[in-house]
Amino acid sequence: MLTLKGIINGERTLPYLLLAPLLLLLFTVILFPFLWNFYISLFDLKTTNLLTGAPFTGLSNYLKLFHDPTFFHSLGVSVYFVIGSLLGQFGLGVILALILHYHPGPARFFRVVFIVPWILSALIIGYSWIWMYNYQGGMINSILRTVGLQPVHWLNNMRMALWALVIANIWRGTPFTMLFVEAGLKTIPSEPYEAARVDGATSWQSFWYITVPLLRPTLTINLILTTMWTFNLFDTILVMTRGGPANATLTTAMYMYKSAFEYGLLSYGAAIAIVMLAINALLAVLYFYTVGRQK
Amino acid sequence: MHMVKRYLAWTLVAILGLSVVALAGPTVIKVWESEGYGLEAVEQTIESLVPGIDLQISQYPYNELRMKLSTTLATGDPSVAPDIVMVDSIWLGEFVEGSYLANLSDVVSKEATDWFPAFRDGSQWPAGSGKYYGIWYDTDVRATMYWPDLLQKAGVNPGDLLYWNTAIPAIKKLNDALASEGIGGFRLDMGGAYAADFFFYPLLWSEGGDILKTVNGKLEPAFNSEAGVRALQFLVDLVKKAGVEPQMQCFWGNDWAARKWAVYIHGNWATSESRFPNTTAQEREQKVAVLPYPVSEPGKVPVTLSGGWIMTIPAILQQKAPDRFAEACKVLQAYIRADVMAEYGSALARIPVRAALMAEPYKSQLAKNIEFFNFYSELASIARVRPAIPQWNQVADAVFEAMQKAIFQGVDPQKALDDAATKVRSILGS
Repeated sequence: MLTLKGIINGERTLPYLLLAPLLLLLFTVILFPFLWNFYISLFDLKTTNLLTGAPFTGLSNYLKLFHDPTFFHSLGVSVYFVIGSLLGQFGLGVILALILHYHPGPARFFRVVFIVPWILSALIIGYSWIWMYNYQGGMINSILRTVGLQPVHWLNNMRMALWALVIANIWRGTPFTMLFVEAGLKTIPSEPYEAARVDGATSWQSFWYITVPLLRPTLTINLILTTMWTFNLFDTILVMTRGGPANATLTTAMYMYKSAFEYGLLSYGAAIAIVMLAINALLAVLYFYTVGRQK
Repeated sequence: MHMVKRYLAWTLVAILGLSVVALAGPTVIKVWESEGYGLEAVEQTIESLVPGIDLQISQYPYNELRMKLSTTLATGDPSVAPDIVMVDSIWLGEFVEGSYLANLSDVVSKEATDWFPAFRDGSQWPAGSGKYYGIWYDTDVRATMYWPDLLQKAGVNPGDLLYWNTAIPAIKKLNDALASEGIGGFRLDMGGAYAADFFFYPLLWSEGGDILKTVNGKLEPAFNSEAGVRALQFLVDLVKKAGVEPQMQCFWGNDWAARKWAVYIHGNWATSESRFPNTTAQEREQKVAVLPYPVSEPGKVPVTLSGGWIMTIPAILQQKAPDRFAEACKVLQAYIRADVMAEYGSALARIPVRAALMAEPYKSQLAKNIEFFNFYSELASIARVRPAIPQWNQVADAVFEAMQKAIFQGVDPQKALDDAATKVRSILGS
């Protein structure tokens, strides 16, 4: 006979009961907005028909999206932005983490210094970099002039603007990777290294055959998070270039923002958000199956 | 005794009644405006003109106001809606199509006959249809502004800035002469779609072109005409031939007022007290000077672009809260009295949108605080405005993209504008 006491005492049901509040919370703050967003994307909701009602259009927003050259352009921009940022953030972050891990003395001081960009607001970062990139009085161009080089139109130039954003984003995101990887390094026990040393392994071999495999789960999670954050990033871009010049820095996230909140095309913006979510999910799966695979 | 009791009872009833009225207090009129707009300047005047009201004016950042209005009015709940809202003139189509704004033809159409044509038509949706959804409250004008002493130092005649062919060498001369002092010759803003408002549309109009045209009842792009190509080519020449460095950040006149640039095409606020603190209008007229936009050749009429805000009332009040709507109409009518508009314009140095303010006694009142008043108000009287269609932001972005391609990427102006026109055609569904 099914009784409340029986359910609570039951070994099978108890875990679910304990998880229920958290699942409810997750549904409310994650799953429901996602489902609602998907629902909206099936209509033609605009700021001009919020009151009068939007017609149901099925998947037409998605079809329109796949015929929209600006969307594909934004995807291309995002690919460059994500790859450039990841290479910089990941490479620098791992190097800094190794330096801090193997030099614990100065690490305390430098850890604090390096973390500053991560704790700053995206708007402050954006405005700071605008000033650093300023053609006439910016710090970067001043340095270039000092060493006898020509100043660069960092944010005006269609070729340079995206890379200027990548550099700013690397500066902002590197501390996270550094801290994350350093924390991962601290979890690796010393025994495998001692055994390797006894077997005559070189430092490089210890790093490649012990550190890297044992860090793999950490690196995978880090890559997934930084990829998603970079792909979804729009606040710094909004401040620095608003997607310009001539859409040269119009990432997919920026295009989603513009579609929904500047053009008032709410359903179209929602459709872009769903496609972005699918891309993020696909990337996460790819990372788990490739980088994160345990040998 | 019986009579005394009766008098006492009636007295008590009267006192209670008066107390209830006193406790109810004045009617609250909620006004929403953009940050820094300034309807507070005439708040007390309005409260004295419409007895029994308490104006509560709230300011919101520009973009937030637009989204807040859409989401609040879309609830259909008058209790959360403001009584009066100031909407950017380019939002009018979007808000009317969304059924957010009340048809105020009965409230303002009589008064509106005094408005300059661009602002009268721009208060209607569709423009010029006779259906008023608010009333244009004030405006701004764009013009060429310069520091006479810097031009003199560089040996440039201000008259050279009036025509394209003389402006290019004059600006080059300014750039070369003033560079050593860290002063730019000419400031060209390219930080956002607003760049077209300052640098493309006025030139396009003065060349006889237009942004959009109606063909068989449908809107179509018109900016890729010969006039548009000529206007864009002039901007390209400013960069290529005159050595102008396009600026990605706009300081809305502050840096020009700080003498970082000799010549600037900007809004009239750049010459106002907000940029020259603690100066009188007369003192500002001694410091700086203004000219109309440059034109391609003598005989062409320079045109300016005007923006501004439309004072309006949410439709939801008209539908679900008629008493509040009636009260809001009274407040709006008080706001658009010529004496109130003059008081407001004088306090905030805003350019008037109606003819009555160009005549005495208001003219002197405004001219006291607004530098170059005659010049600016004459420009306003013949100003043109952007089409307030719901897709305006998309159109503006497409035009700005064409400007960027031509100026930064070296794309031929005709091709850049044609590409933008293709995009705009798709946006407009034409």
